[in-house]
Amino acid sequence: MSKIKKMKTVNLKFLVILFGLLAISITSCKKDSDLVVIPDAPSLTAPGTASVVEEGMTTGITFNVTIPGGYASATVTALNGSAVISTAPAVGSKTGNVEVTFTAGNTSGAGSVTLTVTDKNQKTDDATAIVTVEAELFIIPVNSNISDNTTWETGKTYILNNRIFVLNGVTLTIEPGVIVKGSAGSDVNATALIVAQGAKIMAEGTANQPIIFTSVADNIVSGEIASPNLGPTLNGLWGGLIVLGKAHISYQDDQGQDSQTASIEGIPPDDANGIYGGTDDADNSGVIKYVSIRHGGTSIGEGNEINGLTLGGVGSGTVIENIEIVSNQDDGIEWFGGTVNVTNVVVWNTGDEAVDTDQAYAGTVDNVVIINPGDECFELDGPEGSYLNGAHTIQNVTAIVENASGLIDFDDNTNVTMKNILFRDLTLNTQNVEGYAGYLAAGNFTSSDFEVILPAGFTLPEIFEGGSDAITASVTTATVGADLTEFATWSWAAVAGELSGL
Amino acid sequence: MRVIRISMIILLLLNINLVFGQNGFIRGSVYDGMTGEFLPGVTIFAEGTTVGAATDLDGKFNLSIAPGTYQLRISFISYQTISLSDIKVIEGEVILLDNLKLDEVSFELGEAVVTASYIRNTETAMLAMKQKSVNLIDGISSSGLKKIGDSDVASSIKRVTGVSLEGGKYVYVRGLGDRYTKTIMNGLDIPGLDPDRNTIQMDIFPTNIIDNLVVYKTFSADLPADFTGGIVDINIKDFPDSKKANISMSAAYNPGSHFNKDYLTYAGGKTDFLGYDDGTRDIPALDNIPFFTDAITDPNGPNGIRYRSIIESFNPIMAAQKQQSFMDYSVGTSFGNQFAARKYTLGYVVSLSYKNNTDFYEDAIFSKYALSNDKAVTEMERREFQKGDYGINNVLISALAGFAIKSKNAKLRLNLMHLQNGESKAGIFDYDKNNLGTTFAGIQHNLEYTQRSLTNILIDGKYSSPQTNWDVVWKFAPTVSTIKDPDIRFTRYKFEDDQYSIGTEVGFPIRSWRELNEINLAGVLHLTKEFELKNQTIKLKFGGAYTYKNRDYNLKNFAINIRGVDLTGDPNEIFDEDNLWPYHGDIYTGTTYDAGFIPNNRNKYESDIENAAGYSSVEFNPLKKLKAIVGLRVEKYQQHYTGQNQTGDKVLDNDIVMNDLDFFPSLNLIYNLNKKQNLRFSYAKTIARPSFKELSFSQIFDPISGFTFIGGLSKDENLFTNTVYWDGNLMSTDIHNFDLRWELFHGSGQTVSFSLFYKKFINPIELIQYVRSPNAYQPRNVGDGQVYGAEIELRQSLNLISETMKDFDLTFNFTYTKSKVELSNTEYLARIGAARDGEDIGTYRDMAGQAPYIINAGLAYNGSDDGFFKNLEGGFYYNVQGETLDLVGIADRPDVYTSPFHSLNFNSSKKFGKSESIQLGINVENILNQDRASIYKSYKASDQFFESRSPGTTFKLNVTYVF
Repeated sequence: MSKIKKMKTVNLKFLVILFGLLAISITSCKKDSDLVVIPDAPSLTAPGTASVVEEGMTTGITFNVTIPGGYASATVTALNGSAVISTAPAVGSKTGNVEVTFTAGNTSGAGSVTLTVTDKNQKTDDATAIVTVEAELFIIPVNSNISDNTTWETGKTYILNNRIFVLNGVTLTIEPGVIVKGSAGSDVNATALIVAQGAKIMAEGTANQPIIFTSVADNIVSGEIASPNLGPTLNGLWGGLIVLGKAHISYQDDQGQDSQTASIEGIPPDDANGIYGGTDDADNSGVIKYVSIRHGGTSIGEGNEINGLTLGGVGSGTVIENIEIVSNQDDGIEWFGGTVNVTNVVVWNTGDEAVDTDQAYAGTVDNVVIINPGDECFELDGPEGSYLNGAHTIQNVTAIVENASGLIDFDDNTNVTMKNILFRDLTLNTQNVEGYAGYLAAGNFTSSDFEVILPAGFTLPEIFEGGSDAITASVTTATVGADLTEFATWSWAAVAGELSGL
Repeated sequence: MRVIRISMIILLLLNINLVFGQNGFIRGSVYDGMTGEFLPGVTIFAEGTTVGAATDLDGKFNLSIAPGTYQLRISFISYQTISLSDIKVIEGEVILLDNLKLDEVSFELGEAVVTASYIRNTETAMLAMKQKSVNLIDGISSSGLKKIGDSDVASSIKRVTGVSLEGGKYVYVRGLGDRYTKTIMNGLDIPGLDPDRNTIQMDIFPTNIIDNLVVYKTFSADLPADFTGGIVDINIKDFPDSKKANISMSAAYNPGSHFNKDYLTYAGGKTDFLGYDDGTRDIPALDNIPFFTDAITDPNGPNGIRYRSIIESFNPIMAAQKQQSFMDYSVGTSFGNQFAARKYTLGYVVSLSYKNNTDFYEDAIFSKYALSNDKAVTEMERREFQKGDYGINNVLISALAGFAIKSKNAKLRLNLMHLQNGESKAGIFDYDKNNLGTTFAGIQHNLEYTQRSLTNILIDGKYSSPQTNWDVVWKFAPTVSTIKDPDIRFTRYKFEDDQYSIGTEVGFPIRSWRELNEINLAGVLHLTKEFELKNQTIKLKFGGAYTYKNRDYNLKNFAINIRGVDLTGDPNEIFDEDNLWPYHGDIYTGTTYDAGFIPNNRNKYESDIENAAGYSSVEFNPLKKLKAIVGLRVEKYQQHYTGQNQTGDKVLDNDIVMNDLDFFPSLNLIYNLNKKQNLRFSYAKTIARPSFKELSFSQIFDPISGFTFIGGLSKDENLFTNTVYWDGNLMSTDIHNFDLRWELFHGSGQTVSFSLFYKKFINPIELIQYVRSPNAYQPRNVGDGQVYGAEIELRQSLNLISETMKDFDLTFNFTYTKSKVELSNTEYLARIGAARDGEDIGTYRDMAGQAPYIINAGLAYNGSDDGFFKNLEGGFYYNVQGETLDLVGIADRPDVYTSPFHSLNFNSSKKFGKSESIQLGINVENILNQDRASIYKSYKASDQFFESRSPGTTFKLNVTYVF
């Protein structure tokens, strides 16, 4: 009890002294402020580390300024380039940032930006930021998702170091002749370019300057068609190209309900960017023209690989023409629903099927060459849910069967109409058409005008099972098939001579 | 050097009793008939002599006395004195008088005189403990363990009322599994040995190092709060009361598994027979692992050379091969002694055992079934079907050394234990797949090895002061456990048109290395003080506990591709030197690998837990016959996690994922109907917390089941429809437990009891299927759950029927439970969506892992007093667990149930020899030749196998020599 009392007295004394001191200091301050003083000159701080910028490219440099007299104006000068002030503090501000945009000149080496700030009393200060101008990069790493409109330029090579998404609302433009290379990695480390729902890819190559997607192992440079160092059988070195749209899919979710959307295989289920499907059949995911995709399809787990080109719910507003897939470990092209039309396709040496359709795809695939797939030439499935809007059409195909394990795998509910299909270069009498009887019996869709050039000793019914021999003509000279001229100049298959002499 | 010194000390200890050789010893223990606890300070006095002793803090005494026949008086203030006559002491030998019961004086009874032969059944001690415990407990004593003759704890524990086993390894108490059951050792936390579980496998503990097993079914404040079904406490042997040394050997023969020429195995390392891998299965490279991409751009440079050297370093064996199997065998020894030196008693126990078991299952089935898309079709569709043979060789080594020093009031103990287990598995299966348009047939070879080890150091102390009525118990135990699956090899071929192939459709061959390390530090301090207040004894208990656990896990997976080489179907061709990349110099062909764990490994995490607890409880008698124990425990629980999700955009670096402060009240009431009957009631709140990996962003792919586990912190949402299926906020489950039990103890180890229980689960966690991705599961809080049940236990001598049957005992226990959990919205919709035409879907289902009933029965013969039947014991033991929901189905995947396995075993033993030093035993396991099976069940569909195998009947002979 007495202790507490004592403490209280001590505290009281302390407070009296404290208040006394405070009063003295306040009065003395007042006296000082009566004097008229011109504020100090501005002081500037330039960034501590040098900015690095490519020749001809721009970069932003931020100066931190303190202006006791109030901000009035600023000027900027530059060496080895030009500079302009992009943002400045409001007039009268005492602190703030001045942001300068520096555009590098065309000489690599050192450069600098000098900023001068003037206050209301005409006092000035300056500071210089060091800039390093580097030679233009021709090999550009891509490490994170593309969240702003971006152009990949002709003559350059872009390295995918990850799964790269082009995000919703963003357009990625890829100029003719660009080479995109996927880094090595399987499983979670597989690299791929994924165009998410609502994003666009404008990959418009030309017959002379195709856009090539390949592996970092490929020494190919812009202007080459064939790889200088990789054979056309080498697969699984990186992922692939995946385009996701908002067109209808026919899918039943895990709750057994029809679902308009699904999550594309190969993307972690908790990544919302992997969603595809919707109700906009005219959806436009951009343009993919004169594009060759090679050596991809790396494994991401059992039964889960990336196709050369995966089209999930891609709408008919999208243009896909002149596509080549070479040596993909899984399928060449796989459609999951959608309505997009695809014209002029060559699929060479896939590990699995060449052409694979699922979830009631409803577009047209026209003018296709298939060379030596690992499994079936065609794996054609129907709706998985109740949604069905007509058939997809596959027409004008030349399938060079070679070591394929089969020709076509129909399901009873496959919604396809096939016509003008030529099979040639069969090697085994087990390379047959499966499931045709069920498909025909279902009676929903029909196919016609198949031709085959049979090796000696093979019979039509043993290959074309289930009654498919009725729509097939055994010929020695084909009258149907693909127009091979579409593939000249830009496709590796044509350049390698795979299409000659057919 | 140190080893020599320790062995010299051991030798010294062994010899010391020779020094005292001229006397004999009477040793034993005394417990309080009222509380069931051991009584310190009791005097033991040999009448007609001046020799006496007093019990120590464990209620044990040691009387060194000249050979002769004595009458002992055992007395304690305010307790009845008991008198034991005709105690024959032989030079250098020990007479053991265990578990003498001393009752408080009642007026009508005078001095009780009992003869030494009365004390025979030590099971009585367990029952006394049970009768007097403040908790609801059940258990098996060391003599019970011996009698039933099980070789590991997994087989024994299921004989306890309400206990069942899942997968032959994991304990379920009252049908509540992994999440709600806890296993501790010597009263302290121990690490797990399974990355997917919280509890430890029971088959790793051999019974020969176990003193007893106690199962706590109700909570009291001094126990950890994270259990609901029960806590299994494995108590490791203490030093013996007399010199004990034995050697034992056993051999077992199973006609299907042993001396079978078709047995499958593969060449392992030189130390496989010692339960660990000698490096034969080491990963070929830990760092500097080039990609195939690096190798082909630089085939003759450093990357190419390194790549080639790594592919060459893989063990080339991929195929299982036939080799005649051997039988099961085991050897073991244990010895121990105690001796008195001045004021102290010193004791030690050492135990070593080696077991080698071989199993072979022919025509085992593993399959996956699903529901048809057509809802009018009720029969399930076969999606995957594996049928084939596999062999398992299991080696288990245990070593235990315990030392203790004891004075009258204090005891200090050091226990060292190491368990080492290695299991090698090889199988060949026919494989059929028919799923989503993928149809093929093929063959597969699986080669697996699992190595587990557990090292535990226990230091504990006890101080008891009868004068001040203080009791102090402290324990500290560091434990290190490791489980490794080095080099799991898996190869599957597609076989079509007479050709073998490997491709994306069948999946590429896998080589994988998995490792889990866990360190636990656990300590407890219990303080008990008894004092008198208003004419009654009040017992105040308080204390604290601290547990630190650290677990790290990683899985490294190589996908193997054999490019452009013609295949024959023999998996050994894959790593045949001739076929390795670059095949005959061609850089496009040959066997290659892909290391999926570089640079980011999603199958990796590290997590630690700190749990600090404090408690207090008070035991008092509100009414003369009513004992009440009221307690409160506080636990401060913090969990940290280091790991990342698959895309690497959610990274946790030792971040706190749970930080809870919880209070756990408990009330236990025991109403003493009369001396033999109790009525008990108990209420407590307990908790079930998410496991290490559940509170994470991890995405762990299991190559064997094909399932991906997604940590509970990840959200499941559809950004386009703005639907949130799961918000990523995983919480602990609070459980309210109610128990009621009536029990009767009517002497000679006989008992009858009947219990009812009810448990309510707030926000239970269950594994729920991810909506957008098949084969991905996530732990989520679901709707509230409830379990209610009843238990009956009976232990009865058959002298009830006739006096000639007096040497027969019947034991029987039966647990019946009913559980229901409210379906989560996701699951409800999924079940509705997949319902067959005419099928009704309710809003509740059974809780997974909850057995509807468990039955144990035993008929034991305890031997007669003389003749051949003296020292002959034997019995039949039966166990069954009702059909139990094992895996919760969703959408088109039906539920999987474990089928009842009617286990009937016979066990017998007989002691021979002059001093009964040879014990012979005969066991027969699985007399009914039952199959182990789990089945898919669906509305109006025929049941289909998920898994099935035939273990066959095993005949076992064992010999123990005691010296």
